[in-house]
Amino acid sequence: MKLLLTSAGVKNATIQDALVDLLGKPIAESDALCIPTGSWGHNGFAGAWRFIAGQSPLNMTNLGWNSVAVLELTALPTMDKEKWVAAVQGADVLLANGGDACYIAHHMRLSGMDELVPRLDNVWVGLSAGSMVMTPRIGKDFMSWQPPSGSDETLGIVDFSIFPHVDHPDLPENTMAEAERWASELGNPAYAIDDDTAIKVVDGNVELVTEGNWRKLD
Amino acid sequence: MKLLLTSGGINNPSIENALLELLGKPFSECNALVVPTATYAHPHAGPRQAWKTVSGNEHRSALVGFDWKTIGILELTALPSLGEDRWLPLLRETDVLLVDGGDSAYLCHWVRESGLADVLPTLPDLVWVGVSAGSMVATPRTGMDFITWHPENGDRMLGWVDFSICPHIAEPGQPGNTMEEAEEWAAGIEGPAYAVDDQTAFKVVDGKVEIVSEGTWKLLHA
Repeated sequence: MKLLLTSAGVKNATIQDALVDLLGKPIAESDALCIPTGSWGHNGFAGAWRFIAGQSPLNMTNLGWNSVAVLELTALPTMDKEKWVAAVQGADVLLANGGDACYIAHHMRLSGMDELVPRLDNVWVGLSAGSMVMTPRIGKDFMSWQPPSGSDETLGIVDFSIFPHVDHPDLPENTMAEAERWASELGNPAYAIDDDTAIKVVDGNVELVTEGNWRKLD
Repeated sequence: MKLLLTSGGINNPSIENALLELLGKPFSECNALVVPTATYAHPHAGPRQAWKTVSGNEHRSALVGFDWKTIGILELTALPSLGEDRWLPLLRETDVLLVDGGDSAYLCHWVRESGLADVLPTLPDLVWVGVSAGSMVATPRTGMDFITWHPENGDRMLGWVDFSICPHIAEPGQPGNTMEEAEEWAAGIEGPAYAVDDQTAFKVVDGKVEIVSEGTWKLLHA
């Protein structure tokens, strides 16, 4: 699995170029599977619709894919596993919406997606919580849904945490100073990224793709 | 709850008018939630169909392409892990549920499992618009011909109405079910059974059933 961990989707040309590079072919020839599940853990019932329908200002499903389909993680345990695994393997890209990262992680574990994803050779594009789910932990501040375990641990497919939306005008608490305080309580490396930044991960190699602002917090 | 049980969605002026009567106000003043859940378990539906319905790209059974005041998704499979306090307030502000087709047994399971079946009787003004399996789930049973998900559990549905429905009646050679196939299906159904084409819907208020149609329908047996 190749990862493109964004804060706010494919927001600029640099992030889009990185995506096309990971796909190895044009977006118009790539089949996408979109994952709205994070939205439910953040009361994003209307946001989930905008995400799937391509009506969100945050670019994910609306980039001109060859096809878009829906993978609802909460439904997977009651679906035919052979069929949904084939759908995941047949997609060129998985587009994971934001919301609550622990909610996504919980349902990836319940469905077995947590074990399938690292073995795939397609691309995972995360948006906010859809990126944070790949990290070892998110910090208590970002939990809007309480998992049965009470823990902020996510999947740990990468070894750093992510503080998204730094300096966003509508999120006054998302400052770089707040990100530093957050990182100091994690016990692992972290990146704070703004909405013009993404983290590209291929075979464990981490590359920052940005037209904006980011900082590594150790 | 009021019901508009369609075979092919809100696809002609008579069905659209029936929906407006049930809502009692224009679409532009109504909060709508789409329920895509049934699509996931049907061999002819699945992930691609879920996208088409939710995004308004399913032109055969229009649900989303109206001027709704707000539109969101009620994902039944997600509700048990959220807790009622997260979704019940939203449902109380909702005017219409747009329930897509797929597998009726899967949908029935999740209407019960999600807690929705317990809550809906407390919402007298809410309108349930079903398409295909989204309508059949409201009947007493579907007949085994229509069950693909866990057939060992039988074909019992929610029984909000006392008649069964064979949807998508079409001429021989066209996609859908022929009237002859519907007659065979009805032979295995106890209680009233209707066959309807995609231009027909049932409007149900306080147990009173009215058939709204610009096409073909037949009461196969009473």
